[in-house]
Amino acid sequence: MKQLRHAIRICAVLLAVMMVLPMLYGGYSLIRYGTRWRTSEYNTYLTGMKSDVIAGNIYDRSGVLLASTDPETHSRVYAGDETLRRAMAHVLGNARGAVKNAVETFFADYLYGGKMSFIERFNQTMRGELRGDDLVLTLDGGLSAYIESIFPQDKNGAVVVMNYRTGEIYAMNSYPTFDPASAAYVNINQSLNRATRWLSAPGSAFKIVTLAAALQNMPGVEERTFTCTGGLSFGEHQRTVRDYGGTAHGSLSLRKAFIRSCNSTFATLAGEMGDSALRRTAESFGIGDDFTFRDLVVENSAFSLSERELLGADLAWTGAGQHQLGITPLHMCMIAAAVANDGVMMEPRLLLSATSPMGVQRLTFEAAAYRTALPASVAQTIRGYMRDVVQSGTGRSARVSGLSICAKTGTAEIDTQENDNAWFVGFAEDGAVPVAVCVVVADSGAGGSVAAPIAQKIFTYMNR
Amino acid sequence: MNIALKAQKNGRRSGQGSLITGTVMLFAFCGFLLLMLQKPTLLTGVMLLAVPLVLWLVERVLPRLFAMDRLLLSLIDFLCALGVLMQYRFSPARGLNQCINYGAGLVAMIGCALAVRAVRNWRLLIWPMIAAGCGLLALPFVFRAGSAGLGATAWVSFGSFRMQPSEIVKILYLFVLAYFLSRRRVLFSLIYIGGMLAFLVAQRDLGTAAIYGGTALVMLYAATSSLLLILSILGAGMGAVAVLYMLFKDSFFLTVQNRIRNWIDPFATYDQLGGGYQMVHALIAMANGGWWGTGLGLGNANTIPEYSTDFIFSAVMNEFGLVFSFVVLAIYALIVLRSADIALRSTSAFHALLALGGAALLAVQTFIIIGGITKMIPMTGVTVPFLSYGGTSLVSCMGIMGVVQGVANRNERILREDRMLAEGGEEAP
Repeated sequence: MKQLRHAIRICAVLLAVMMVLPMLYGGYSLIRYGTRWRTSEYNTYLTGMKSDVIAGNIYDRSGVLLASTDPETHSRVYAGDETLRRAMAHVLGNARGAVKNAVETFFADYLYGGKMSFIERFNQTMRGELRGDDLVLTLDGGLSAYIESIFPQDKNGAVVVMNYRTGEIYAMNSYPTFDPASAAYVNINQSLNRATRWLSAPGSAFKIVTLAAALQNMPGVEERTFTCTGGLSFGEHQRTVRDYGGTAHGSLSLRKAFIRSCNSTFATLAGEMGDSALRRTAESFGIGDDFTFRDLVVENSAFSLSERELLGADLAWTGAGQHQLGITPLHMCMIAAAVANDGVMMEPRLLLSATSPMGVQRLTFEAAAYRTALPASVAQTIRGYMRDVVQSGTGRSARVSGLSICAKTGTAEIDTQENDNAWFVGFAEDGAVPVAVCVVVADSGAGGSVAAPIAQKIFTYMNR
Repeated sequence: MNIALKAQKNGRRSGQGSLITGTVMLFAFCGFLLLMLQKPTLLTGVMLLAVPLVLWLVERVLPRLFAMDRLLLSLIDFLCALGVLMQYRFSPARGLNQCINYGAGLVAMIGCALAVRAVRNWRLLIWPMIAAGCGLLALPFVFRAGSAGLGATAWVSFGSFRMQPSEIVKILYLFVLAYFLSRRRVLFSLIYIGGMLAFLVAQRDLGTAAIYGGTALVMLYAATSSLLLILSILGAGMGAVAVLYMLFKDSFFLTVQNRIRNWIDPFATYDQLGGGYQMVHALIAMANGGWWGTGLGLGNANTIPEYSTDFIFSAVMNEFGLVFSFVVLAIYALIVLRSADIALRSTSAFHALLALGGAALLAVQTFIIIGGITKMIPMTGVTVPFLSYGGTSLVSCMGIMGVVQGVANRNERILREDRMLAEGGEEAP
């Protein structure tokens, strides 16, 4: 009996703990995923909230009104300027939830009074009008509208501009866009926020990551000389890694290979490092992370679709930024920003402040590091390489007088498209304009000739 | 024994019981009052008074007729009251039906308690119990209810009356296991457990099979104190699953794979048949509720298809919030601990195992379903004890608690007899 009693005690404690575990897990999920679940497009509860509450206003960082509510009809009114409306369409979304996880839905808790305390709610009910919080975003309306005016209107793509020291996003445009004031119906192609949800291979822009991996895993790699014959072939299937336009770069150093964006060299590096070293560095840049940022829902980037180790041509193509890589424009911007910020990747932020109708500051902006992507010394070396890309390499058309621009271009081949996707990721080194920029123009041409000039205009605008 | 006696006497005198009863009554009253304020109807008004009154009657009168553990009774009543309130909130007709189910549950509870108290010679009953258990579990094969879809085929229907035999068989299962394990007939118990599990798996009722298996593990460990035995059973179980997987890779295990997919990312399978639709809405309901809930009657958990049965707790989390839900689960934990306490006070291994096994049945079932709806473990459809809508489920849970109450009653009687012996039989209680 004594033994039985002892065993009963153990069982009882175990069973009792088991009862409480699901709720502890529930609390954890609520903190980690609650906002995502609540603002999911399948949630019908928000629709009910919207009919009772006058949603708060949304401003840009300099106080320009982006969205407000008509107190009579409770319908949302967007900025008066059509260019600004179109530039902001994907960040803001609309109250009907046309764009997944946009500000209008993701911050519904603030906008529709979900953060109100009981007393506030009571006060407001007594006054006969329930109002949500006003939001100030980190976005720069003027910059966004300017990007809207210079982006080729017939192309798909995305532009992200962020402060690499604080993580504040200044602009996040996605194309094709729509006008929330007039569009009665937004199709799937228009509603996709390409900055945060479009996973594709970044082409040579990914060489920043391959370079970081080589610098950290291959001692003496900077002193080596590589020979480029315009391509590398692998195995019995004769799968080849070609250089852009089949150009043979001859014998060149790592720096020259980066500046001229030589695929053969970077394919060789990936092959020598092996899958694990490249994958490890990619992971330190956040590729494969489950992103749960406070202000944004960003699709998780993938190193490869399969869990298997990459070999031969697959690995080589990945080193050159092709194959199964899937990275969003925002994430590429964060990768460049990490290099600019001495290896520290900041958490991308959209919300500068939230203020209740009674004037209570509910949230104030505080910059937070997301992760350390690479050592500061390696970041400095890469910055030097990226500076030369703009000085004498593929990114020459991004040169801005008075600013020191560092960048990497990419020209990603997509099987289903006639033309390549043009990529540009870069940043201004100067402390006065601490911005990182990512420009992607789909189905257009080479990064250096299509994306870099757009980035050049953005830097010039920021430096004015 | 003396300390235990004193504690029990003190407990009764200081009126702990009536305080808890009062709280449960107040909870039910306030709940229906809220519903009344939102939508005043005559029926809600009647419920507002009748439900607390019934709770009072049950907790005052029942322990006088039949000595039982009043704390356990109050805790069960609280959960049942919450269940009736939630059902009524969505559909008054279902709320009323649930009241009737509660009545049937009370009858089952008293019946089981009386059986534990009255039967002295279990040897005669155990073989008929095994036979009845197997017979009942075989019923779904004979009278199939509904279509044989992807899910479980564990229901039996006679005309408009539908029941799930595996719920009722739980009580028989408890008795049989406690009987053989208290006599240390482990091998026979294992064969019996294996047989029952085979029936359930053949009906594709995985949730119930997990409840039966989990309870068996707890009782086996309690009876033998042998961790080695438990580990080897778990190992053998995994082997059996591997063999079954090889055999039924393309039929039965497709359902299992589907459930695991829905568990990993329900949003990805939202639009598929048998996909994550239900799970997504359960998670949204939980997120809408947040820490403090949307308020009773203000939630929208009825977007979940099975909100009244398996997902009723999502509705509780939605409208009462996570903090309150934590308290509710703490009450389940208290029921488990109290039952274990009753097991510890028992003087025979058989009765100790009965009380512990009853607690384990409830605990494993609660864990499987609450873990499922919070996406902690893959979802398997079983009812939430005391809360879900449905007669069979409530009758079976209250029957199990009746078994525990019967053990408590027996403990009390033995205690009284001891005391009378000690005091020379002068003072009658």
